[in-house]
Amino acid sequence: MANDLELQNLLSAVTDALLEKQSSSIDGIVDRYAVPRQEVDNFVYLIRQLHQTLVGAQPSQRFVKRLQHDLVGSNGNLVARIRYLPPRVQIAAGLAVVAGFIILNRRRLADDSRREQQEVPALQQ
Amino acid sequence: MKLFKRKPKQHDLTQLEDSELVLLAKDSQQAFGVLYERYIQKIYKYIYYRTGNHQDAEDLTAAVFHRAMGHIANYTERGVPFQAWLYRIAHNLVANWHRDRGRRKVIPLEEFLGPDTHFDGPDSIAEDKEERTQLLAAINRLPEERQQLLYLKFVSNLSNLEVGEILDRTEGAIKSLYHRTLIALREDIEMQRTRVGAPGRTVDQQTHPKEGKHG
Repeated sequence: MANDLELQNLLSAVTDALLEKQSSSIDGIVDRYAVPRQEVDNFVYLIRQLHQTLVGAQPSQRFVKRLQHDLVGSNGNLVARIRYLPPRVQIAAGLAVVAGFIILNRRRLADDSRREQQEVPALQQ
Repeated sequence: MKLFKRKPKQHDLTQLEDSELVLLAKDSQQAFGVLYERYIQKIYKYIYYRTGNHQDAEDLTAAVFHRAMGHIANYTERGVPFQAWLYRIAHNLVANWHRDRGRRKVIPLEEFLGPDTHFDGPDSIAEDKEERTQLLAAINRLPEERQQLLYLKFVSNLSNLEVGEILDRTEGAIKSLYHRTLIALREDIEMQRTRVGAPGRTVDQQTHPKEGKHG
C-alpha cells in the first residue's frame, strides 16, 4: 500500500484540479506522486462522481435582493452618500454651503437696514 | 494636506480583502453589503444541502446574515477569518434547526442530481442517475462531520485550508479526513450493491467504466 500521506496529497490535488475545471491536468498530477495507478484510479472515479453529483443550488434573485434590502437598505441616505464623495467634492460642497449661508444672511441684513431707513422718516413725520 | 479622510466608494470596496471590509462594516452598511454579495451564494448552497429544501434554506440564510450583521461590531479576527466565522454561524443555526424540529433531513434527490454528463443513450443515462442516487444516499449515511467536509469542498468549493478554518482542524487533518471519507464512501457503495445484489460495477470495473459494459 502506498504511503498514506502521498495518497492524501494526491487526492487533494486531484480534487482541487477538478473543482478548478482543470480535469485535463489530472493525469499529470497522478504521475507526480509515487502512488500506484491502480490504487488511485477508483478514487479518481469517485471524486469525479462527487463533482458531478454535488452541484450547488442557486438562491432565487428575488430572495437575494430582498434580503440585501432588509440588511443594508437601498443605496444609503444623503449623508452616507456625501461621506463617500471624493475630498475635493466634499470641500467644494462645504464651501458652497457656507457661501450660500453668508450671501443669504447678508441679503437679509441689507433688507433689514433698508426697511429701518424707510421707517424712520415715516416716524419723524 | 488631507482635510477629509476619503471613504472608499462601492466599487472600491469590492477590491478590498475580507479583513479590511470587516473593519469598515463595523460602521458602514455598504461594506457589509459587499461581504453579503461575496458570500450569499456560498452560504445558501451550503445550507440548502444541509436542510434539503429551499424554504428553510432561505430562512436560515437570512438568519445567518442578520446574526452576522448584529455581531460584526464584536467580531475580531483571532485565527478565525470572516468566511469561517460565517460558516460556523451557518453550521450552528442548521444544527439548532435539526435539533429543534427533531427532523431528519428530507432530501429531494432528483433536485440534487446535477445535469447528465453524457449522452450515450437512455440506458447509460439511467445507469448514471442510479449511481449518483446511490452516492447521495451513501453521503447521507456518513457521520455529520464527513458530510460537512464534502459539502464544503464540492458545493462551496473551498480549499483544505479554508475547510480546516471552519472545522477547527489543520490542513493536514482535513486531507486525512478527506481520504478516510472517500474510503468510507467507496466501501458503503460497494456494500450496498452487494446487499441488493445489483449488477453494479466492481472496483476494477469502476476503474475503467467503459470496459464494464461488456462484463
